[in-house]
Amino acid sequence: MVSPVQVSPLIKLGSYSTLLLSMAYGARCYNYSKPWAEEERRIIAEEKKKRDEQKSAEARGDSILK
Amino acid sequence: MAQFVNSWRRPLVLVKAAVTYSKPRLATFWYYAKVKLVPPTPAEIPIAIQSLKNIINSAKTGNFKQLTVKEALLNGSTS
Repeated sequence: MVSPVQVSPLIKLGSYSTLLLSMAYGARCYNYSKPWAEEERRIIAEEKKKRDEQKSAEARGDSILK
Repeated sequence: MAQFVNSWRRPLVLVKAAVTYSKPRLATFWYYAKVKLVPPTPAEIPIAIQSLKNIINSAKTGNFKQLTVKEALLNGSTS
């Protein structure tokens, strides 16, 4: 096997700092958009519940055109 | 009971085959990773800062024009 070439410390420092900084950036983006995502999910669940109620009402023959 | 034991026989055979296959490849990976993927130790930080100063100096004095393209690529990628 070819013997591995040593990597320069500057390149190592740069690449690992980029890794850590991008992890921190990703965490910040996730935290920033978490409340809005939960709000979206809540709204979708509510609308789904309303639609399900409407469907079950129709199935029971409960319409306004009595 | 025997059926239960026998139902795990095939997955175990597959797992064993996977381990046997991956062992030499993991050894190669580990051999190179120990040199290439290791993070910088605190002792290497001054060397890194010195290399950065060298680069900035060569940009200021115009020394970088003396480098061959091959050397420049090597400097940029590993050393």
